[in-house]
Amino acid sequence: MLTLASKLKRDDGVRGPRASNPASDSTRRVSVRDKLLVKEVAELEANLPCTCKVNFPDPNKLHYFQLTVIPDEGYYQGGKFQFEIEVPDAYNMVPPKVKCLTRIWHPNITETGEICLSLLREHSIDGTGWAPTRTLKDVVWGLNSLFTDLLNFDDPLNIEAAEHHLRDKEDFRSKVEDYMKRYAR
Amino acid sequence: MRVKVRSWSGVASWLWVANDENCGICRMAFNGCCPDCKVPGDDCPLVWGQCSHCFHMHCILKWLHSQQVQQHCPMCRQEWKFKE
Repeated sequence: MLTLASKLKRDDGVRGPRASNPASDSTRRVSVRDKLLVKEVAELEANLPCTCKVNFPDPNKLHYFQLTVIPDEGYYQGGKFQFEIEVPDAYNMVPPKVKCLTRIWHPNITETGEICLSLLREHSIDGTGWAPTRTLKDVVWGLNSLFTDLLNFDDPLNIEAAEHHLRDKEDFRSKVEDYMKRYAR
Repeated sequence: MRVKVRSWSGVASWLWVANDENCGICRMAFNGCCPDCKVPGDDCPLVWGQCSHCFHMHCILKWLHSQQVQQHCPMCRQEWKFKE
C-alpha cells in the first residue's frame, strides 16, 4: 500500500535530502511536554477553583509555577498554603512534582512538604496513580481537595497528625490554627 | 461527439473510525499522528484495548512500557489488553 511516509522517502531518494530546510526540525522541535503545557495551562487558568491562584514566576517556563490555596471551609479555612509545581521533561508519562512550601499540620502533608495524593504517584499497585490522560487541572483540583473532600485521616503520611486527630479533635484543630497563624498568613 | 481521455488522477480521502477526535494521551488528533511521528496513516496507527478505549499505538506503548507493576488503560484503569 502507498503511504505518505514511503512516498516522501522515495521522493527524497530521487531529489536528494531536502536542502531547502537547513534548520532540521529535530533541533527545532518543541518537546511533547511544552506542547501539552500550552494547552493545559490555558485549560487550568480557565477552570481554577475559586480558592486557588496560580503564579508563573517566568512566563517562558510553563513547567514551573506556584499554587496558592486559601480554603473557604473546614479545618484549614482562612489559611494561605503555597505549593510549588514542577513538570518534568518526561511529562505526561510521569506526574508533576509537587511540594508544599507552607508548614502545615495535616494528615496527608508532612511538615517538610511531601504530599500524599494518589494522582501524584508515579507507580501505584492499585492503578489509582498518575495516568497520561490526567492534566494540570486535575492536579490543582486534587491539591485543593486535600483541604476538604480528600482530607484523609485513614491513610496518613503524617501519622502523628492523624493520631492527634483521632485522640483529640479539638486539640488537633487548635494545633492546625496555631500553625496557620505562624506559617500560613 | 467523441471524447478522448488523455490522463486522469485518482483522489481518495481517509479517516480513522474512532469513538473520539483526539488521543487521550498526546491530545493530538487521531487523524493526525503522535508527537513522535511526522506523517499520519499506517505509519502511526490507532490501537484499541479490550476496554474499547483507543490511542495512537506509539502513545499507548510508551505508557505501557513506563508501567512496571501492572499495565492499565490510562482512561478507565482496567488492566490493558489489546483487542484482537
